[in-house]
Amino acid sequence: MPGVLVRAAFLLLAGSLGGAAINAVRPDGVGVRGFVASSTCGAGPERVGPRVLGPNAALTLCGDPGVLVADVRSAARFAEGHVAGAIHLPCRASGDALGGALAKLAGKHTVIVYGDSTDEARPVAASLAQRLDPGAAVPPDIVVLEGGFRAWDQAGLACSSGPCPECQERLGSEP
Amino acid sequence: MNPKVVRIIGLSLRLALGGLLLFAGVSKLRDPAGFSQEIANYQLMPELAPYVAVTLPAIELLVGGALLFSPWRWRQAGAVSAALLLGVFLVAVGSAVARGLDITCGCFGTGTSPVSWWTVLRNLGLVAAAVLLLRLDRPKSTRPEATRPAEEPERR
Repeated sequence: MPGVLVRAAFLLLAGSLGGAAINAVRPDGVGVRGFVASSTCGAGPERVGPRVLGPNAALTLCGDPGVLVADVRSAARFAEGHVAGAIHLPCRASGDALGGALAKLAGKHTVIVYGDSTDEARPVAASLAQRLDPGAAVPPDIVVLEGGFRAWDQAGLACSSGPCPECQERLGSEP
Repeated sequence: MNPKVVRIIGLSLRLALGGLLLFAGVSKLRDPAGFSQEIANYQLMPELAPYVAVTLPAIELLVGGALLFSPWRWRQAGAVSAALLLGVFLVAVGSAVARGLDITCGCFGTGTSPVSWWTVLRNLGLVAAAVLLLRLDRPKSTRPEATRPAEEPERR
């Protein structure tokens, strides 16, 4: 049995070193030092970070082509109803979905992020702010919708419903 | 149990687990940045996510390869490693489900299904399969079939 454990440890160590070597030579390898997670959904309320905007203040920005609204809730909640024109950017967005969402930030001066509550959107907004292109001349202002979708809905502001095409694509690719 | 049945079960487990680990390793190599994010979403030491994303696919490939293509001693090591890996996955997925996180599994890289109790159950089955493989996989006898003691009652 000790021999088996030594060999098992060897496999794990050799795999780790092999993985590090592969990552070092591939052009799209992960930068282990500069890595920033895109979101920390569910990590709890964050008291510092992006500023908060009330629903009526946010409404004055709607319709401006330089403003992007992002919904961080689940696909099911998004389908039930969302702020008109919002894109779906859930906590678990990664890979192509996250890349696509970040690409949509180009040319925007403001991004309004909302969840079901203010606190649900804060970590995602903070993370989005961290991931913005540092080379951008004027990075967009990331704000959180106060009270989340519930406050928006209760105020009777513009909503639409139905699944987004990106959500359908993602759900379709899941086994 | 009939040795032939034991051998068939052991071989099936080897092929299934080895193939699964190879597939998982290759899938995770496709999008390392996305896979880092999948790991970070578990909120278990997210600062280690890129290190895990870099090393895990190669470990899975090596362990899967050991299960499929190596001699018995290395297959045993592969089974121990597979049980350890799958045990860690079980704890991670179980804790994510228990904390109510709405995240995807990342089991086969990016774009896989959300974690659920079904994912926990599947991982539990895989851990059990690795442990069973460790017990059932036996070295090939170097003695020819015709000279085995069971077929030589006159020598007893």
